[in-house]
Amino acid sequence: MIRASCHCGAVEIEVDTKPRSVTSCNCSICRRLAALWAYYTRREARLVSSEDAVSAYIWGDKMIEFYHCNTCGCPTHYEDVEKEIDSRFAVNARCMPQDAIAGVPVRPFDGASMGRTNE
Amino acid sequence: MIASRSYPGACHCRALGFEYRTALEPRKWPVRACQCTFCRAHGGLTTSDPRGSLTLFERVPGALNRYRFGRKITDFWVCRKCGTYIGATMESGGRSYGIVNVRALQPTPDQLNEPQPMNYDGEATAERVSRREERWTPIAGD
Repeated sequence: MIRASCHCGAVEIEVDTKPRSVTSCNCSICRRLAALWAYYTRREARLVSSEDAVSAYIWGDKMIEFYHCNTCGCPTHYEDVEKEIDSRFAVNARCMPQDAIAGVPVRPFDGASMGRTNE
Repeated sequence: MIASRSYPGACHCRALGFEYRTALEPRKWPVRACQCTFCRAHGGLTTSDPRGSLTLFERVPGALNRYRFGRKITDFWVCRKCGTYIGATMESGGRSYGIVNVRALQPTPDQLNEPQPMNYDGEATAERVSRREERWTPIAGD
């Protein structure tokens, strides 16, 4: 199990396994948040701190909720707006301990050319 | 003397923004990947020009989260709505200085340098302040 947390520690997430890879997307939101997404399902990852510690940002086609800490602003995770037990729970691996993700490959994803932009 | 150019930036939802002015061409900008815990968590890549000028602004009242930690001498500008870290400011001697997160530049200039990892952990507070006075961008109007 790996525990991820934002800078100030108000948001904590538990995941069952080390990610096999993390995704670096260049779309307008991901490039600003600089997130490295580690993909899980809602069975495999969970918010263990209070839901009051985070805010969701929803834009564009309004399919995804991007969560960040209300105190330090760190982007922590995203989820589908429509949640099911096996729907995606993506964790920002920058919130995981450095040694927990050492050696994990970073996969670039060209979200920008898929029209995912507000620019 | 080369005329300075304006490089605008904003968070994703546009509630926060900045105007960074510098005469340096983007291929000559320093791009720093500070290794402090905050910058690593936000993936911050910052730049500055002590001969340039900088204005940061809040377009939507209440959107600005000035996050402080550690020595509490720096305001990290984070959007409460979308979570973007756009830059940081510090006051010293009645003046303000700032940096911008190049990830918030719009558009992203071509030919930016590879980020250089920076570690300032051993600095005393006075050293930190004087380094920033020399390297950070003066806030316009101060």
